[in-house]
Formats: sequence, structure tokens, C-alpha cells
Amino acid sequence: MTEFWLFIIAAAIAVLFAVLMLLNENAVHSALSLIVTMVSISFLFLLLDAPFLAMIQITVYAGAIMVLFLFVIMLLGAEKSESPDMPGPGTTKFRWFTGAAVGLTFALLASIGLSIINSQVDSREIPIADPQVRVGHFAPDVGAVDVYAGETQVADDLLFGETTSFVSLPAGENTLRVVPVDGGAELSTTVTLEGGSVQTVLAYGVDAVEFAVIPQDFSTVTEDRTSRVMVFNANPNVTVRMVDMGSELVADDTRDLIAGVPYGQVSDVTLLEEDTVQWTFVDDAQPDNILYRLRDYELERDTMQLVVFTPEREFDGSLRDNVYPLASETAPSFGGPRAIGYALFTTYMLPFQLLALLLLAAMVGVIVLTHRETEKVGAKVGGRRRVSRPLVNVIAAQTGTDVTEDGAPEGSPTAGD
Amino acid sequence: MVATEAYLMLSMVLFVLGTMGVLLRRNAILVFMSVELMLNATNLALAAFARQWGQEGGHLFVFFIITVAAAEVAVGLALIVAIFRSKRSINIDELHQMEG
Repeated sequence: MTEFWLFIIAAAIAVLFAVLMLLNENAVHSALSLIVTMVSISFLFLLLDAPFLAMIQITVYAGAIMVLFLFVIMLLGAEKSESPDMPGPGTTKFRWFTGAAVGLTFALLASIGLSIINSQVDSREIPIADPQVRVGHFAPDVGAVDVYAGETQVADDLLFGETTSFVSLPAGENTLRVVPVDGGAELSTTVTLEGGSVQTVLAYGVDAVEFAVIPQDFSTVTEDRTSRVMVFNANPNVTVRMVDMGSELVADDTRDLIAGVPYGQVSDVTLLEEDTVQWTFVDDAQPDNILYRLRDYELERDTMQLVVFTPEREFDGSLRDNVYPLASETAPSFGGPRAIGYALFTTYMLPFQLLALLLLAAMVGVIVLTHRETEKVGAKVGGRRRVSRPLVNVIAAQTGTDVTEDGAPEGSPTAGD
Repeated sequence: MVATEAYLMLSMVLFVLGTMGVLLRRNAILVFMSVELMLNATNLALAAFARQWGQEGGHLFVFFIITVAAAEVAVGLALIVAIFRSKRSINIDELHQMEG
């Protein structure tokens, strides 16, 4: 309800000052009324989840364009242009076809209003986006693989520890196939995908390769400077717990971050602050048994971290635990500068550059239009540059003698011998 | 959340006010300011739709419109200044002949 009343107040101010702008005799007053209208429109942008636009509106429109208007109004003395002593047909501030124009614009208002009401804008359904999937290769005994989603190839020669990029698949049932490059059995799984979801499918398992479908939440992280962290356990022998060992100088400084995660399961989402973290993975049953230490990992803000704890086949054939954090950025907040920047520098790069060229052309055009020829300062007289105080006069004034005569002046100072 | 229709109605009212200003005022600078009011009205409508559909394309289009409006205002005011220097008047009823 508060938002509704804020909207009503801002809208009323905007319309009121727009009407004042139209009816005012003084051009400066009109410009100031328009500035108030623009500030209230900026407030309406804030109500519309568009903070970047609100700032741009104040900075560019109210702060630059309207100031330029005021400069030109002052320069031309235009605030007096409606005075009665100006010759012209009639002294009213409106033109001769006032009646017809007002009638036609009210007809325009009625027609647009009816079309807005009839179009039922608010009841349109927003289409749900296609689900997105990526596949991660965490099976230690399988070599490089090719990944197929349905019929299309998603990844080529995917090594252990790597994941494909996100692919959009149609909602419903989809078959993902993982085909080893060197031959060997093809592994496939069928996943049921809902619209609008983002999933990671991990192929894991030492003896038999299984698939885990992990839904991930990539919506905007609302807390400040935090990230979402999930841990997936691909080690069949232990239930893993992630702790922060803290300082080595202080005993009992261990902090549990993520509680016991059984084999093949993913933990709940935990929010952790951005930091350079030292994560330690221990056996849940015997907390003194340290399985892996992830040192100096840069945990950034606004990311979704899926930390995969998996055994890896070493060169000598033994299995050793390793940790692969899969970090992806979450969605930037709607209408904020980061979201606008992403779109502006990827999809809309060409219009952005064209507008820059347009602005450059406009600046050049303005300078050309307003340039006028003036008398050059320092015109030449008789072939020599005319100066205000010739050097000869300056020297004569300082030495007290007339330097223009031939020969050295009397009493010239010797150079300190 | 306030209905998109409400924002569209407001945008329409401001647009019509701008239209009346363009048609009715004699001062060339006032006409120009009414054009700016119309552009602001369309910016409002675009931002309302962007919020409804959850796409940032609407915001980007508003950004482009603001940029183009800035360029247009600069050039238009330069033209008005140049005309004023020769005609000593910015009453558009006196400027309708392309002589001089």
C-alpha cells in the first residue's frame, strides 16, 4: 500500500509541474518546473526497480540537459520573449489554432487510454525460461569424455575435474550421454527438467559411475558480500565435513562450516562471507582425520560455489582425495549497474558504440553551428607583430638610460670581477 | 507492486501534455522542452514494461533514448542560438519562412 501512495504522490507532482511548465509565461519558470517533473520521474524509476536509470535521469537529464536549456534561455534573454511589446499577431502565449489542438490532443488521450485498458497489459503471462544444465566429470576411472545432451554435442574431450558450460534444454525429459573418447561403455541418464531451473549433473563414482542431479540457485544473493556454498561428496568411504581450522596457535578454534555430507549427496546451501578461506575437509566420524586441506582459496562475493570432494586417480594408480570448487556468478540485481553493464557490453555493444559516435558528431556539430568569425587579436602592423610594450622600452625603464643609442651605455655593471 | 497499467496511464498523460506543448507554445525553446517531456514519458513506459517482463532490455533502451536526447538537445539549442543571432527572435510564428 505504501508503494501505491508513493506512486500517486510522485505521479501527481509530475503531472502538476508538467502543466505548470506549459502554462507559465516565464521560460525560466517553465524550465524549473520541468526539472521538478524530471526529478519526480526519477523517483518513479526507483519505484520501478531501476536504480541505475534513476541516477542517470538525475545526472544527465536534470543535471546536464536542463542546465543547458537554462543557459540558452539566459543567453538569448528568452524569458522576455512573451512580453506584450513584441510585435506579432496577438499577444497571447498560445498559437492561433489552440482550440483545435486541445481537442485533438484530448482525442489522442482518450484513444491511448482506451487501448491501454483494453489490452489488459497486466494479465499477460511471462514465459518461463528453458532449463539450463551442465555436466561435470568426476569419475576417476573414466578418461576424457564427450558429452551429448539429446542429440547435440555439449562438450568435446572433457577431462576429469572439468565441467561443461551451461546448455539450454527443453523442459521435460532429456537424455544426457557421456561417451568415453577411448572407447569403453557409454553412460547415460535421463533427467526430468522443469522450466526455469538450473541444474548441474555430476558423473561420479569409482566402481560404478552414477549421476547426481543437483539443482542450483543462481538468483541474486541478497546478503552483502556473501556467496552460496554447497558441498558434494563423491567419496564412497567417508562422510565428509567441512570445517575452518582457524589459527594454529589457538587450540580448539575449529568452526564447523558444513555438517556431515554422505556419499552421493549434496549439502544444504550455506552462506559464507567473501574472504581468503582455508577450508579443511575431515572425516565426520573421526574429526581428527584430515582428508584434504584447501589452502588460500579466494571466495568471492555473489557466487554460487559447488565444492566437489572426490577421489582422484593418481599416476601411480592410488586414489587420493581432491577438491574441486565449481564457482559461478549469480544473477546481478535487477536494474542495478552490474546488470546494465553486463548487457551493455555483450549484447548491446554495437548500439553503445554507435551512440558514442553520434555524441561525438553532435559535439562537433554544435561547435560548428555556434562558431562565428571574430577579429583576430594581435593583428600585424606593417609586417611586424604589434606588441603592447616593446622590449626596448622595458630595458630603458629598468636601466635608466636610453638603450636605443649606439654604443654601450655608461656605467654598465661589470660582472663581479 | 503497482500495476503496469497505472504507469502506462501516467506515461500517456505526460505524453499528451508534451504534445500540447509542442503544438501550442510560440517560444521555440518551450517547444523543445515539451519534446523532452514526451521523451521522458516514453522512458517511463519502457521502464514499466522492463519491470513487468523482468528484462533489462527496457532499461537499456531508456539509456539509449537519454543519450540521443542529450545529443539532440545540444544540436537543437545550437541551431536556436544561430537562428537567434540572425533573426533576433525565437517566436516560431515569425520563423516559418526559410529566408535569411
